[in-house]
Amino acid sequence: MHRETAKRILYLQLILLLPLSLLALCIGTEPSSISDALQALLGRADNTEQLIIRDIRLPRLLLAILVGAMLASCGTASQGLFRNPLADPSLIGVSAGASMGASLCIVFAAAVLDVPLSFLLIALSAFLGGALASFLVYRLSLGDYGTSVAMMLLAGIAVSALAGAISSFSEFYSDNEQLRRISIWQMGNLSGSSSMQRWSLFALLVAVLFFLQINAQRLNALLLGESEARHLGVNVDGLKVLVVLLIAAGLGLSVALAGIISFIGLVVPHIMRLLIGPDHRFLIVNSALGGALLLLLADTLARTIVLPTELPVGVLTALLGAPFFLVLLRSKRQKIL
Amino acid sequence: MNKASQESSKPPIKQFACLEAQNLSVLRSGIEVLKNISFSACAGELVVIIGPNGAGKSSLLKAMSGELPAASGAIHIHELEIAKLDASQRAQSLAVLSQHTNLNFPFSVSEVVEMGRMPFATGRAYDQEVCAKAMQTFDCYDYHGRTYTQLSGGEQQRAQLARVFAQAWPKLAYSPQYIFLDEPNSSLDLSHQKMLLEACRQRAKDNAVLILVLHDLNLACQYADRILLLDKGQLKASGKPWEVCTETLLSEVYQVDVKVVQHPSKDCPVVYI
Repeated sequence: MHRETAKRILYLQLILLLPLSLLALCIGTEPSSISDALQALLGRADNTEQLIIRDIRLPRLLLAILVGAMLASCGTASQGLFRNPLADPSLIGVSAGASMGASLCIVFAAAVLDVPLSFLLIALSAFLGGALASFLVYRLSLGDYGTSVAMMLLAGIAVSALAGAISSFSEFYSDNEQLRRISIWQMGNLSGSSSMQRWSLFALLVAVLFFLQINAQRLNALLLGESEARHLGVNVDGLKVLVVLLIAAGLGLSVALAGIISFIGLVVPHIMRLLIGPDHRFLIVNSALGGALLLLLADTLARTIVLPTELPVGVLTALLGAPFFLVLLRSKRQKIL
Repeated sequence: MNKASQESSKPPIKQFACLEAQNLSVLRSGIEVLKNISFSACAGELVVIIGPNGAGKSSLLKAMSGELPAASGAIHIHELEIAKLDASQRAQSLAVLSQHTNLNFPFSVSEVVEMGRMPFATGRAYDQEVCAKAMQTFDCYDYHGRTYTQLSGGEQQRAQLARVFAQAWPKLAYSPQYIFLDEPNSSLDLSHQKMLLEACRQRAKDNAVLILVLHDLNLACQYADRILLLDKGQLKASGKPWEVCTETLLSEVYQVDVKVVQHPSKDCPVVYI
């Protein structure tokens, strides 16, 4: 029965993505009509209209969809890995680790390595930082009978604090231009991506979804417990390493491109589990689509509710997501304490 | 005599399920929790491991399923060393219920049980049939659509048992099967304990090797073919219920005075304190 619901939700989300994308293309400081937007997409509108829609709003829309899908898939995977519905990458320090990697890179790469600062270099150090943080938190929170929630959240706090301190340290040594760059990027920003960046994110998203999907049954078995999964024939250690690498890569690239956008990875898998159950075979793709929808919606709101300026989207998702997290904590209180 | 009947009269030595532990020692964080243990269990046998808390019962079960590495000695199942089997091979002939299971995600009972069929590629229709039968065996078919996380402890335990038995369901062509259960009767009521032990007896009759850790000595005495008595990591005694459950042995190992009498209707001992 979950299978049928899952399919229906999947189609519903695909259908919803269209009008929402059109809406995102049309509204903004200079609102355009739907027909104008379509004309501009086909390259038949006047110069200004074309510039706004094809070169500013469309790239932003695509990036929001890709980053949202990536964050939600990584969130689903990390909750599966930790066997815990609260294990969001931004809560357990992975995002902070990735952010630390990126900050260090922005400030010191040019000085120490004497290479020009490229997006790829930032993404790579964000990946390394994220991987380091996730391995650390995972090792710390792993007890005899699965991961302990208290240990996981505490280790997440500690790792986030450490990573934050190192980020601040690097900011201390940065010049004005670097500082501005770091602080804008840390708040979460989806504007101004190049097509090469979007393509690389797209390729990584496809890879992440592919590897998670072919391991969906094994991730289900892992939810029973590590030794249970082993007894069901799952190569648990290999699976864990793969998932940690996927999460770190996905988070690293998203953080390098768009900064820390929290709570998408927590909220979306949770809503999806309520709708279609915890089976990863259906959960992963549905979560990815849900993340795309939610971040697109949040970003459209972020850039239109305080016109003519805009809010950083990370601020908006945190504003919406934090209360959700508190409600979640309250409902799971007995299990956590 | 024709050729076919000649062949069928040959004993199927290679396929005969047999588990053998030889001089097994196991270390856990530097402490020797099992010392020099040797025993064997063969197809059709229901073996029960008993012993006081911390005697090494669970460690023995974990070593047999390959979860804990042997510091010295070895375990062979089906003439193959357990440590050298790959994960999927092992999952196809060995099903294990751990002492602690902890599932925080809202799977339905039938989804949990269906995970037991993961190691096999026997087709969805057959798998569902097996799972339905396994759930009926443990009286959880009536609530197969309910959410696992909302069940009581005993209901969850029965769902887990159904999962393990679905994994170790008798195959169409005979192949060796091993079922290890660590305190499977914890949180089960009397009638479901009986249901469990009878299901175990039935699987033993179907030529599986069953090894159970039990705390209830009387259940052990009534259903076991053989009892292994562990004490401080050593195999204190091994044999039929009457040989192991004696007043002197039990009083010494459990450090409490016990009385052993004959069961009123069965030929097995009854232990009370």
